[in-house]
Amino acid sequence: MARGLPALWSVLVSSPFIMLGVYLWTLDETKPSVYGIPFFLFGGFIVVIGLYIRLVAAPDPPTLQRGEEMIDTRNPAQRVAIAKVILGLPLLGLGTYLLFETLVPYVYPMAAFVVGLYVFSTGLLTYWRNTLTTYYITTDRLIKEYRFLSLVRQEVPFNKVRGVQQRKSLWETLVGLGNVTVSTGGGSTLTIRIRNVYNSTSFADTIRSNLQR
Amino acid sequence: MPTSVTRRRLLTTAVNMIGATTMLSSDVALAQQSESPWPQFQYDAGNTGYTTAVEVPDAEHVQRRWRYNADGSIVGAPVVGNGSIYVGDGSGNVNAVDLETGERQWTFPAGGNPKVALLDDTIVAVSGCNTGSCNVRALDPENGAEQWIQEDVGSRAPLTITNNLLFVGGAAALNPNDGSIVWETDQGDSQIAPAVADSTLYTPTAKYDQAELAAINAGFGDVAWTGSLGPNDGTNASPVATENRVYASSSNGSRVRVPIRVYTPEGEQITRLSDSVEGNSLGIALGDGLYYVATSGLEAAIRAFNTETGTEEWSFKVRESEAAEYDGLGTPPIVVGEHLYAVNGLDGNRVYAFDAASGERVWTHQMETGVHRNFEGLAAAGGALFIGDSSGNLYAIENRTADTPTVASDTDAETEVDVTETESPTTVSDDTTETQPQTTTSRDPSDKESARTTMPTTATSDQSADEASSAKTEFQRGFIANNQIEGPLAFIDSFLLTVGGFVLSVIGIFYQLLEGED
Repeated sequence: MARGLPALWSVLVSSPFIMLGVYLWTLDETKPSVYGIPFFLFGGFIVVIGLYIRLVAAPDPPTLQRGEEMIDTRNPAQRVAIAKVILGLPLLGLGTYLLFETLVPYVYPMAAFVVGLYVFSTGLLTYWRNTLTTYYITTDRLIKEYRFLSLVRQEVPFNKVRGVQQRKSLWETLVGLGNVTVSTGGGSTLTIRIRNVYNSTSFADTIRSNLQR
Repeated sequence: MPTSVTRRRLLTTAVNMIGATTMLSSDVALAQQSESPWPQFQYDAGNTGYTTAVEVPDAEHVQRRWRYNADGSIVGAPVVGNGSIYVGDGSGNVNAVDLETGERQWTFPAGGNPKVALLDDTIVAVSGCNTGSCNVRALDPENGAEQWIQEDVGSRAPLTITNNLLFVGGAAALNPNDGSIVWETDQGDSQIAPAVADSTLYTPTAKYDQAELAAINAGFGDVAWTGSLGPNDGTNASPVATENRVYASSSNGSRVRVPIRVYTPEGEQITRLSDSVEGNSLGIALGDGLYYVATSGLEAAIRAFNTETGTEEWSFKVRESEAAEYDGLGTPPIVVGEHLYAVNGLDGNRVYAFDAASGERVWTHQMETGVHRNFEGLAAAGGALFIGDSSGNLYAIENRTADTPTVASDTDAETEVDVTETESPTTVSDDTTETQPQTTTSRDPSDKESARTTMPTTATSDQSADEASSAKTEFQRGFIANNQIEGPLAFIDSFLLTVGGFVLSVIGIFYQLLEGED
């Protein structure tokens, strides 16, 4: 079962689409009812995926080996995702308004609609992927797990780590987020990117301290 | 033709049958009705929408005689008689309005979206539903007093009236004098006005995925024959019947050609391939040697066909693509004398008058909002054309007299709204048509674009018909600029734009969720 409240959040985010769809289908008699269908279905898609993630998806914690202990568990922060969704909704609203309530040439509502939908969708995707992603630091390994339909588990034994990179953009510095990249050396380099975690410095330090053992 | 006879209600309504038989034995034909100027939906029991008996605004310029404001959207079809016009509104009221002044005379709370018909200026028949119970009533035209009520008959059914019988959709027949049930059947459609001609009632029915036309004995309610109307995807056009022909069609989605089925009264189908129309058929009206079909869907148009050969004589495209909003021309056209009147319902808010024979447009009148989806038909009488919109306005449109100022009712404080296009009709955009002062006359006759639109759409070939129709196409929303239609259909269609955007978004999200983070 996924962390957080993906189902509740998805219902909240989908509500403008579902309400607009119902309004266009039943109440707004100045426009064809079918105009409500795509909005209603898109809202329904968000609800269904949110419920699926809440009930089915997200991985179970990894099985620890003998003598191995869990040191830290992190999930990506949702601030960026939420910001994108909040930014995308007004643009989508503007596009919808221009499309249905005005007679301006289609290029204007289409531009607002496409940009708004892209920003909103990437925010939605980021939120769900973050929900489905968990980082584990044990005494022996760094593990990244992701499961939607199938499970993807990446792990790096600390004795093979050759580098730890920490990055903070200006924006991430302002909101207190950071990225940490852990790489192994050799021919087939395995890299795990830990994105958008709070207190990335302490997280990187935890990894480094394990390397020094 | 397959025949299926149903006598389910025959025994239980035997007494009423005897009464009906007595009425039918008179020399009066069933198909004709009261002497009211416009007694019911599409003028007569056959839904022909055709008369030469009333005066209509047929001059080159028109004006608003009055505007009456009801408590809800104007619904059903207005009827005229007894010096009044009667019409239902979305608040469930029947409104009686003075024909000359537009003043309210009385209202009656009949229930949701009431339908009205008139019998001999003595009975206003009303159907309406309240909290699940659908009733038919008779009201006094003078004061709206209830004369009788028949409860639980039909549902939202339009009323068709003859001298002897009152039909509630195609589902029941009542005695208009006391409301008693003459017959009931489950064979007829209770939502669509049936057509009655020569003692036979024609109504669309649905049999699983197929739509059918049922011919029912109007006096007894038993089915004489049924004929195919094609796939059943929501039949939404009332059939039209005369003594010799029955015209009917069914909706079949919004983007395909649907055939207009023509039957003889005996049930023999007359197949004419050229009669099919693009998009949904929303209504059929008859004229002098022609019948007219209003369509919606991908193409919103009026098409005129020869009643003998089935060939298309002229057409007028209101708009293509997104234009008529899929609900298209909201009502069937009517033909009064030499003129045809039609409404571009939800999108353009316009009423058109055409020369019925040639298709040349005589005038266009702009309303303030579109007609309501439950508005079913125009009415004409006393030199005026009547139409209602979704804002509850009932308009009376009449010929403009040069020296006579606009007559405005108490409820009409606005300037005259008139877009008259005869001497130099122009392409009229939504931005320019509102509140033209009455002093406005023809636009610049030297305007080439304007002159181009004066071409009648009488077609000599398919190509010329299309060209002529295109020449009359009005304001069109374009992709880069309006009135310049270019690019794929998906870019100039609101519905397709939203569908395309959401589908791409869903695919992208789902694909990246499967992939996980890179």
